[in-house]
Amino acid sequence: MTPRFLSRPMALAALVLIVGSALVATSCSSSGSSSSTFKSKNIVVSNVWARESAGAADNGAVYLTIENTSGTVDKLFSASVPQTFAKSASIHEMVMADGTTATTLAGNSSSSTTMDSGSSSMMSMKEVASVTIPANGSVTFEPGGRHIMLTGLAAPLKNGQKFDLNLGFLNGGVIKVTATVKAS
Amino acid sequence: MRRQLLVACVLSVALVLTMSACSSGSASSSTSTEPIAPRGYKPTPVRKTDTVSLPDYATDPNGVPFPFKASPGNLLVVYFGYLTCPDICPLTMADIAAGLEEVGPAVSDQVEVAFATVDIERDTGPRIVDYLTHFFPNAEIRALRANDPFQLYGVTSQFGAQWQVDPHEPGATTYAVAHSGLTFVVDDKGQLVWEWPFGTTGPEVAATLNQLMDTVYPKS
Ligand SMILES: [Cu+2]
Repeated sequence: MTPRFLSRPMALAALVLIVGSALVATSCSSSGSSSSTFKSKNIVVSNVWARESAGAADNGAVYLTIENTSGTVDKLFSASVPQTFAKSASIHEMVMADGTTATTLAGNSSSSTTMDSGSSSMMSMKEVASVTIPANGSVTFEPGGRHIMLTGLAAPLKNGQKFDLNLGFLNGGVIKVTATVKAS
Repeated sequence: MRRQLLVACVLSVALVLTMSACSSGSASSSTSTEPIAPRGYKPTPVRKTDTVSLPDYATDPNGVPFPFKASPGNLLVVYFGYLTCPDICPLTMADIAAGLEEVGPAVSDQVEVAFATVDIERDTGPRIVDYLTHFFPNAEIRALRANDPFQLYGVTSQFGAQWQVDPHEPGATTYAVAHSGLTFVVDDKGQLVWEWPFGTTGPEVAATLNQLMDTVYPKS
C-alpha cells in the first residue's frame, strides 16, 4: 500500500531518480576514478591510475590513494613493477627549488607570492625513501604532488590499459594493486 | 501538478549534483555554479619576446627559426618543459587542452601552442611534435628545441623562466631536470601579456583566454 504522502507520480519520479543516479554513478566510475580497491589488514589502496603517454614516452607516473585503517602509523617504503614492463618504479615527490615540498596542488599555492613578483621558483622531482601514512588517515598521490615514478617503460602507456604494481608497507606488507591508464 | 513540478525539480538537481561530483577529476574545480575567474597575472613592465627565436620542428623537420610572436589576432601559449617529465608537464598540457576545449572553436582556433624543451640532449624535434599532437590534435603547434644551451638561456631569460639540468656523464639517459612551471601567453605584437602559475586548471585557462581575447584584441 502506497503511503498517502507518496502519490503515484511521485513514486515514479523517485524510482527514476534512483535508477538515473545509479546510471550516472556507474558511467562516472568507468570514465573517472577506478572503483577497485586493494587491501591488506590495515591498508586500503584505491583510485590507482596513470596518465596515457604522450607520444613515445620513456617515463610514467602512477597516482593513488592509500588509507590506513589501523591506529598505528604505517609507511609505504617500496614500489615495484615487472622488469618487462618498466626498468624501475620509485616513490617521488615534487620539490620547489626554494626547498619546500609540494605534496598537493593546493600546497603549491603557498609559493604564489614569489610567482606573482615575477621571479619563478623551479620545480623538480625527487625520490623519497618512504611516505608516512598516518594512523586512521590517508595520503593521496596526485598530479603536482607525489607519484610512483616509472622509468624505462617497455612501451608507451595506452588509454584503458591495466598493469600491476607491488607496494611495500612497513606494517601492511606487500600489496599488489592494478593501475588503470586514463586519457587525461 | 505542483507536486509533480517539485519532484521534477528535485530530480534534476539531484542528477546535476551526482554528475558534478563525477566531473571533479582535475583538481578542485568541482564547486560549480560560481563563475571561474581567470588566474595568473599580466607581467609588468611590458616584455618583448619576438626579439628571440628557437628552431621550430612542427612545420619543418630540420627546424626553422620561430620568433616568439602570435599570428595576427592570435594568442601564443608558451611552456618550457621536457618530454621525460611524467607529472607536471603532462598535467599542464592537459589543463591547457581542457581550457581550449572549454572556450570552443571561436577562441581556440586563435590560440597557438608552443612547447620548448629545456632538455635538448634527450628531446628531439620530431618527438616534441608527437607530444604536442597528442594533447592538441587540432591546434597550431610550435615544437621548439634550441641548438645549444646558450640559445635556450637567451630565450628563457627573456621570458623570465628558469631551468636546470643536473650534471651527468655524456650519453647518460637518467638525470634530473628542474624548471619553472609557468606558462606564458604572447600576443601578435610579440609581447608577453600573461603568465599562468603552475596548477592553473582548465576552467581557469578558459576564463583567462576569454578575457585576454577581449582585452588584447578589443572589438571596437
Ligand atoms: Cu617522478
